[in-house]
Amino acid sequence: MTSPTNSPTPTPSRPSDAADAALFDAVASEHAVIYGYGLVSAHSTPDANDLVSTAMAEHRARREQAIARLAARNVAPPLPDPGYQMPIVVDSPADAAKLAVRMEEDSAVAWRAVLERATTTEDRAFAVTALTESAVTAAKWRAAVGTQPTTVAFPGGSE
Amino acid sequence: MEWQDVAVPSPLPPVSRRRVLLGAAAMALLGTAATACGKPTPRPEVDALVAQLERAHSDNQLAAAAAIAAPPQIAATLTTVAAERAAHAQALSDELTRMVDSTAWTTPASAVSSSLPTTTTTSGPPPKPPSQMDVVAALKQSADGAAQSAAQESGYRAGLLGSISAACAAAYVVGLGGEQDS
Repeated sequence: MTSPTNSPTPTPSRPSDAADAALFDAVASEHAVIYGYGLVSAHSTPDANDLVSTAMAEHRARREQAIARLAARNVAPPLPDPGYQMPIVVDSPADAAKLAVRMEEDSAVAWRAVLERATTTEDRAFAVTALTESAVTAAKWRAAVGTQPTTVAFPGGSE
Repeated sequence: MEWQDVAVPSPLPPVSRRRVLLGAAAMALLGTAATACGKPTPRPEVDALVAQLERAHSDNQLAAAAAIAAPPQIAATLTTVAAERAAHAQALSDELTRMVDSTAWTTPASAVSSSLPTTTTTSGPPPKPPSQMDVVAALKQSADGAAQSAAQESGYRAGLLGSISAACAAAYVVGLGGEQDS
């Protein structure tokens, strides 16, 4: 999805433990999504305001909670990159909604990875909530774009 | 907008042969899990998947039945829900089959299921078709159940159950306009 444009300083290194690494990746993904929602917000029409602000608040809260989970294990979280290359050019409200769908789909993939690699019930419950929020928000954006159906059978999965 | 009161054909038969086979495979798995070692071996991960498989089947049938009586636009969504729940049933049954294959026992599920009668009994159509809100309520329950199971499982099974839970939630909240709790 969104990739860093440049990283002058190396961010904290990716942990070797699989569960920590997945959570680390998910935080990096949330950094990119929050950046991307700035662009979505700039190009959306007022009727998408509620959706933009709700989604952004959700991702922000989730990022902070995920960082706290990493900190509890003495894992340094990834830092946000100074900029991100978006997967599509955003130049209209329709582009903005498409980017939002794409970001929520990528987010679902990241959280499913956390879910599969987690070793505690609590972490899994957290990941399921994140996966679900992304699936619901993706469906809302698909509805906004006019994509039918608005839902997919396996959010974050490749079944 | 004016809705035409036309029955929408269900894309899925009420009870398919597949359902019987899946049910048989699940039963075989449960039975064998209990007898393979000569004593009952609790396999909570099997029970969890079988429970979700049953829910996927019943949601599939409920949504397909509700689609028949619903106005066209809602019917299309209910048909999507039915198809998604059928896909969930398939994925769960595939995973159950993998679990069967990985256990040390000799009778493949296919052999067991093929020995079972393939005739299906469909109870007559219910007096009143299920409503959109019946489907919402069922999906909500399925989403909660799958989420709880996902937290208890690990690896691929946790991921699969999580995606299923997320799909059920998106279907009732966005597709069918239900209220999201939590």
